[in-house]
Amino acid sequence: MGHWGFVFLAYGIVWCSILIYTMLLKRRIQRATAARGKTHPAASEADGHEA
Amino acid sequence: MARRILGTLALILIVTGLYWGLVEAPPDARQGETQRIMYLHIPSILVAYLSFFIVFVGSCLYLWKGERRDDNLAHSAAEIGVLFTALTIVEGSIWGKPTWGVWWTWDARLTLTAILLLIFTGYLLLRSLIEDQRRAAVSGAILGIIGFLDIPLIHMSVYWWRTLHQPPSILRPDKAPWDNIDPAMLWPLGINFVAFLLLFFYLLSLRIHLGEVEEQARRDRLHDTA
Repeated sequence: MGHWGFVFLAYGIVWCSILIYTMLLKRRIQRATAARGKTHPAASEADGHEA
Repeated sequence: MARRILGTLALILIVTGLYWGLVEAPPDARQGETQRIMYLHIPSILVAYLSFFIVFVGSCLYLWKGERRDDNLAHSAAEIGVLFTALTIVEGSIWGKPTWGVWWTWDARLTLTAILLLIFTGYLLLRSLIEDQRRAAVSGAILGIIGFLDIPLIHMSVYWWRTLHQPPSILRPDKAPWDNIDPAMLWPLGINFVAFLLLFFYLLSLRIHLGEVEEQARRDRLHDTA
């Protein structure tokens, strides 16, 4: 692997990991909001708007 | 709305930092193109240090005042700190192979950083294993404070032991960064650092919001069962 190969490997891993973490975080918020919505619909709507 | 602005600003700076780091910045005279990994590596570890400093402050405040808000702050920062510490180790390893000839060596700074990652992975595991919220928060706060003490050791390790890892380029007592790094490399480093900082605060605000929603859901359940 050439020097650029190492550079792209590092940049690829970092930005893919951060993107995946951000998406997972947003999905966790959506799930938590939805779960809350089953018992308290009005409160869940407010949570969803904040995210 | 503020979170969206923060996210947009972070994205703009990330793209600018990528362009500057990969295109505009010159290759290093000795390391060649692999030096460009430093534009990720240094911001990552500084953001990880900041995360664990927030864990330390949040944990101290929680043990002092007992407010859930402080515990949520510490827990959120710990999760993001683990991500950035893991990324720092991976970046360092990828940089180490062409520069040092090895993916990993039991150098003092590398080993202490791996210990930091283990401590805070343990912190997250501990919190997920204890069902009682208060006990989880107190145990987490104690471990968070102890874990933070590893950071001064990591920083000073290159002075205290004979290590393969070079001394700090940014946080050094004898020289300012602009006296130590060429401006052609300092600018992309600075832009990437600000980009990582904004990204960190964006992720932290999202993670804190998640903690608040989960806490409300827990309170709702308790209220409904009472």
